[in-house]
Parts: sequence; C-alpha cells; structure tokens
Amino acid sequence: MSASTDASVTGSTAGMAASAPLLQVQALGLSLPDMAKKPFFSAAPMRRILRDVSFTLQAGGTLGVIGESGSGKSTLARALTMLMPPQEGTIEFQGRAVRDFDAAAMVDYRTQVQLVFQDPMSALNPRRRVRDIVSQPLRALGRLPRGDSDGTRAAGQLLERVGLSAQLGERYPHALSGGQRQRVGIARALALQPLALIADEITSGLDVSAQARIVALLEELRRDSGLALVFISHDLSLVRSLCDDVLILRQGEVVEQGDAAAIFARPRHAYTRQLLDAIPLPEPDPLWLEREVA
Amino acid sequence: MSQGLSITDATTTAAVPVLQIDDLHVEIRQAGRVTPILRGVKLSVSAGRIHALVGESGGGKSMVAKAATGLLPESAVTTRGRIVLAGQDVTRWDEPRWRTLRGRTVSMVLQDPLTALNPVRRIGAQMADVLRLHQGLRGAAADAENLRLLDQVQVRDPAQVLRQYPHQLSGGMRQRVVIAMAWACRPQLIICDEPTTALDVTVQKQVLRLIHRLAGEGQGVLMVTHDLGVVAKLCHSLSVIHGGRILESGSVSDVFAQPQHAYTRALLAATPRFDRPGHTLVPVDDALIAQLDDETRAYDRQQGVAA
Repeated sequence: MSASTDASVTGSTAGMAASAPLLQVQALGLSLPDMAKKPFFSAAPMRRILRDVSFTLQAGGTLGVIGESGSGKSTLARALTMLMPPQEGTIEFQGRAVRDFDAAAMVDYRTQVQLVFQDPMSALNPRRRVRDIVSQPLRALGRLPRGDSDGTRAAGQLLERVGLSAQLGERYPHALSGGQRQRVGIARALALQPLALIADEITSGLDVSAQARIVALLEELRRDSGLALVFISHDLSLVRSLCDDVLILRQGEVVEQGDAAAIFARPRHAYTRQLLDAIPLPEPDPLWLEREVA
Repeated sequence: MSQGLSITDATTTAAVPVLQIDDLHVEIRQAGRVTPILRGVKLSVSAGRIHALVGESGGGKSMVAKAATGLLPESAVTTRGRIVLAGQDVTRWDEPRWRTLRGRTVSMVLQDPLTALNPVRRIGAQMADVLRLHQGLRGAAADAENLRLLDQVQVRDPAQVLRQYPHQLSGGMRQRVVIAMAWACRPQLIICDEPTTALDVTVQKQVLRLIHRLAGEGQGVLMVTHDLGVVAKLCHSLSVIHGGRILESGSVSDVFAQPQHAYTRALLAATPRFDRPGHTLVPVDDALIAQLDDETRAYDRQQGVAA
C-alpha cells in the first residue's frame, strides 16, 4: 500500500517536472559586503546588489536581461548558477528549489544550466589547446565517449556545431580571433548538452559581423535543440532580435519587464525610453545628438 | 571684386584639410616576411569636420590612426604615398620630430581610458603634465586651466576629480578626462580610436555629444569605429576600409542613402535594428569576404609584392 503511494508520488513529481517551467525565479535578492565602506577593524557593511527580481523561463524560451554597468546583470548570471548564492528569494529548476539541492543535484543543475562568460580571453585557459578546453566538461564528469579518450573527436564535433572548423582545436586561444574565442566558450558550454545557456555580455567587444554570427548561432541552437537562453546585454537592439521576453535592470531593481515586442513598441518607463533613444541607429539624424528624452 | 576674393579665401581655408593621406602603402617586415597592411589608403579630414574610418577588426583602421600620429610599430615600413598633417609632409618623420607635433597639432583618444591614464597618479597631476610639456603652464595657472578643461567636458565637480585617482572614476568620467587632455592644447586634429566602445549607451551618447560640440570649435576629428550607428549620428563623412584598402568614401548622407560597395551594404545589414520588428541580422557573407581577399591578393600581385 505504502509502496503504491510512493509510486504515485514519484509519478506526480515527474508530471510536475514536465509542466513546471525550466527556471522560476521569485523575489531574488543578493547583497555583498561593501569593501569601500569597510571600517578598519570590523566587517564591511552589506550592500544590496539585486532586489526583488522575479521571472519565469520556459523550456526553449528566451529572456533578455538589459542593464548598464552597475545594474547587477552579471551578478544575476552568477546568482542563477549559484556561483554567488542569493540570500533572498527562490530559484526553482523544473519545479524543485535549487537551494535544497545536494552536491550531486547541484552538479546536475550546473550541467543543465551553463554560463558563458563575457571575456573569453580570461575564461579560456591560455596554456591549453582549444580541443582540450572544449572537451574538459566531458572529461571532468567522465563522460568522454568510448574510443575517444582524449576528447579530440568530441571537441571536433562541438567546434563544428558552433561553426568553427575542427582543425582549430589544435590551436591555443591566443591564436583565435575574438569572435572565434567566444564561439569556443559556447562550444564548451554545449559539451554537456544543457537545457539552458546564460550568456553574460558575450557579444560586447566584437565587431558587428562577428556579433551577427553569434546571434545567428544562438538562434540556430534554440531552433534546432530547443535550448533556452538568458541573454544578458547592454545592447537593446541585439536583445530585440533574439528574445521573446525582456527584463530591464537598473541599480539592481527591475524597471520594466514583459513581452519584448510590447516593451520595444511602447516603453512605459522613462528609463527604458532613455535607453532606447540612446542607441545610435545607422540612419543619419542631425537632431539625435541634442535630443533629450524625459 | 575684393569681396569675391575674400569669399574664395574663406572657402579655401574651410576646405583645407588638417589631415591628408594619399596613396599610403605600409608593410610589416618581420623575420624575413613582408606583409602589406595598408594598400593605397587615401582620405582627408577638414577643419571642423568629423570623418569616420569604418571597418571590422583587422581591416587596418587602427594602423591608419597610428600612421597619422607617428606611432606605427618599428617593423612597419612606409613604401609609398604621403601623410600631410596641418600642411607639413610628415611621412618619414623620426620620433623626435613627431614629439613636436603630438599633443600640439595632433592628439589621440583611445578606446580604453583606464590604460590611457596612469593608475598611481592623481588626475590633476596627469593633466598638469600635458599643460607643462606643451604650454609651459605651471602652478596656479595650470590648476585654473585644468578646472576650465574639465568644466568644458562637463565634469560636474572638477575640483574633486582633479584630486582623484583613475580607479575612483566611472568609465564615462575617465573618458571625459582623456578627451579633456587630448583637447588641452587645441590640436588641429584629434584621432578618436573607438572612444565609446567600452561605455554604456547613455554615457556613449553624452560623450558623442561632447565630441560633436568640441569639433564645432574648428578642430578636425578622425573617428575610427566599427559602429555604423555612431557614424550616422555623429560624423559628416566616412571611408570604409577592409584589407587595408579604402573600399568606399563619401558624405554620410550619400553613403547611408545609397551605399555603393557590397561590403558597406553587408556591414549595414549586420547592424542590429531594434526599431524594425522582424529585422534579422545578416552576418557578412563569407563569399564576399573571400572575394575581397582575392581582390586584395590580385592588388598585391599587381603592386609586385611577394605574398
């Protein structure tokens, strides 16, 4: 009797997991010690970096997080992957609270939700070949396929998946262009076949063409493998072309969030309007420079 | 008669370029290898105008900026062409002669203000160096000039900023300080190499506005950038560069209305547009790049450079 109850409970959680969103974030808050205000002999006062951030990311969904420097967007990326565990609020992954995960569940969570960093030069080990960097997650978790013990074949496939030639695997990161390095970062994030990518400013520092290639790649991954995406950027135009939902952060707080098309067509908040107007569109407009948006 | 003459005079002065680069060929000679990097570059910047040099990384745009400030690497050799800066042919000048021009006649604003400033010296001391070196200003006179310069670039509390170190300032503030230093001696030409790439969009707009205002006082500006949005909003004219060759030049209104070169059109198609729902970004076509590279190799063969 009790066995059957157990079975039904398991069945229902499995059902819940299927219907629960991939990521459900509620009232997330994070504070860090403010070292600038630290008294000499005592602990630094805490400073709020993120306050009351909530959103839902469905499987295969795309959320754009927009913010300028100091808005807390990189901290949000770290909080979501529990590299900086938030003090307040909850993150639920497929209906289960990430806070309660044991070590094994946390490893599983981090394989499913992968972070791609802003600066590939500091995120890639300069002394290792690209193929070793890309296959490292497989090696670390003992998931290298049989007959490919050094990961060369797996790395080659991953590199080809992000539009690079497998031969690039022999090179070191410094011998690649900025756009290629960023794609190596994405290839590594894809190694464990995650459900979601959290991309933190991955196109800043690239020129327009390399940027357009990364966006095309992310779009293709989403279409072909149903990869969900949290795309963190200061570039509203890129977010517009990639994301269904947007969330606009300012000094750690959500200014405006919702359907991307609606927000871009009718921004309600003055800060959103100001951000939109500050983007120089490639169209001559002599009045733009002096225009102030209230 | 005399009236007609003075008008002609006025127009010729207005059209006198502060920077004129003609048919400039530069190659890197290193370890027995010769690599051409600039292939017949031609452009000019007039007083009071902002000219953009647009292209992707590796296209040679920073090399043009370096050539125009005498900062080409040691291994670079100018094989042909000339650079005329404020009426002087500076093509083959040596370092001591360049030092008489830099800061006074031409100055530069770089992408990353944090590396352009000395991290262990106060802003005031660094700005005072520029004034002492080029204008012989010291003490109270230099302090007053520093305050005036920071005020001009719209720094809110100039007296406090002068006492601070670079790390205590925001990115936008740092870039304003660098611009103030570049403008300190009223050079005739200012070269801005991606000056707003590292800044937030709202700060970028303020800095662009500042460059526009300062250029309005009569200096020529060469704006090196990959952002066609910045070009459209700020500049008067532009040159598009790829593989060290200028592919297209013209006024901003003409080129944006009817880009002549396929590469210019491709760059425009790769620029994101939030105002156009459903606009898909088109990366620059590999076939186009391959074709341009073929043309570049053909050009090198024609010039007799062993590739």
